[in-house]
Amino acid sequence: MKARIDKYVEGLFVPYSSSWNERTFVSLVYAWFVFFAFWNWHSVWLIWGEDSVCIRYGAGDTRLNNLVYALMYNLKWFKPVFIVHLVVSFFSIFHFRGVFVLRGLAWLSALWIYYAGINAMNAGYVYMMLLMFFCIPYSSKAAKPFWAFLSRLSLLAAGIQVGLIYFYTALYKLTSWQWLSGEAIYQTFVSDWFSNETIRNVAQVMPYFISVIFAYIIMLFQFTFPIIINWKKTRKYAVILGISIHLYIGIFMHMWDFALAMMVPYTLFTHRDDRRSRMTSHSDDDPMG
Amino acid sequence: MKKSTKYILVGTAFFILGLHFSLSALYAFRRHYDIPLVESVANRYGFPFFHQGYSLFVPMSEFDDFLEVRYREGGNWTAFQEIGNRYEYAVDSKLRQFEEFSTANLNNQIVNNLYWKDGVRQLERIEQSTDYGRSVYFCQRLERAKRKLTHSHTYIDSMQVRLVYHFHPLNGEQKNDVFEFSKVLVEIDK
Repeated sequence: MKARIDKYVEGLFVPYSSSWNERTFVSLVYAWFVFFAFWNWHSVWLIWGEDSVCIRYGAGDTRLNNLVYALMYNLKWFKPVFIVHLVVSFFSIFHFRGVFVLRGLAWLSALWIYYAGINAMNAGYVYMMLLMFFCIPYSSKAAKPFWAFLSRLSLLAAGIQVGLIYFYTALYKLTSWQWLSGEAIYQTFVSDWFSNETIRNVAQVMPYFISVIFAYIIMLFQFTFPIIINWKKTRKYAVILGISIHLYIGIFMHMWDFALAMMVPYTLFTHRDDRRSRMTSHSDDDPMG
Repeated sequence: MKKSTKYILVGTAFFILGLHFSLSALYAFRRHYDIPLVESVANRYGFPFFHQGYSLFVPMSEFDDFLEVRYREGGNWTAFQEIGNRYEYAVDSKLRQFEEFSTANLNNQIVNNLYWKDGVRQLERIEQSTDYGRSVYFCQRLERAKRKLTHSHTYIDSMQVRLVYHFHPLNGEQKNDVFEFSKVLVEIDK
């Protein structure tokens, strides 16, 4: 047992060279923020700028609250903060020495932007901010033991965070009568905002038990996600099912930013065996060179 | 690097990770336990840096609601129009999300502050709320932005908003309801 722990601890510090999927995951996390900015370009000044449609409102008068809501009360600051955010997020996509400084700035500016427009934001943004935070110390190639350790730790934390979000969401669903009865899925199908006419019409004539089946598949998937995504035999199906659910959310529920945010971490869960072998040996068999 | 240093680093890092995820769990389920001290610690930790809603799509509402608005332009009232249509933003726009936030708050106001008098619904308490004010301000600001874009100079002196519900209950009749608020004087371009 002690030998295994020693091997594991030593493995965390060996020089680190990322695999293509790990690099892609970190790049996509920051690319998502650039995508988000351009996707919402048409409304960005109406939510955050000087023509904002949001009424300013008070928060608890603590130093931290004042700091995170600073942009909300200083609309003129938005433009420079937004430009800095865009630039640092863009450069954070790439992997080079010292990029962690830009990634830290990208996270802080994202926090500001989130709280300045909090009423127009969805959970996808917060989710990406969490992943963004974990990716700050990541380096795609780390020769020094300390940075190699931090890189591995950042990916481990991001992976745990993804698993927990699914798991906690499943727990909430399991305590909701709407999900247990399948009505939540039915309401999604017939919603004016989160559906389209074809699906609405189909949902109104199809047998109700189909909604129930979908609801239980989703709950089961989310509840078992941390296991099925890490178990080699089920991983492929977990990825296919997860991507399908989020594609549905993007295409039919019109929540593209949220759907893409949820799809990005799936890149992290491919090539897990390759990753494990690199945790405990010096050999780097990066498929993308 | 010494072996002992590595152990200290790994131990510290895993302790911090464990603490982070434990506090995140306490933050995620803060409404499901009643221990003020723990809740306070979890809140201080979770907000603002590690906030997440976690209850994604729970619950799904049994209705859709829309904000509609009309204006008195050049002495005549326009027809009520759903604001997404009037201001031409898509369903995946952040403006749509803000509309959803506004209507959700108006729903809460209707639940908490609606009362009846002589068989007639009274909306005056709702109209005193910030939530109603926010909806009016939202429409007013959108109208101002539209006027800037289209270089419109038609004089607007009043506006009126209403909340329209589409109920789609399971095995029930699809029905609508409308809550029409008072007309208000506005200065759109200010």
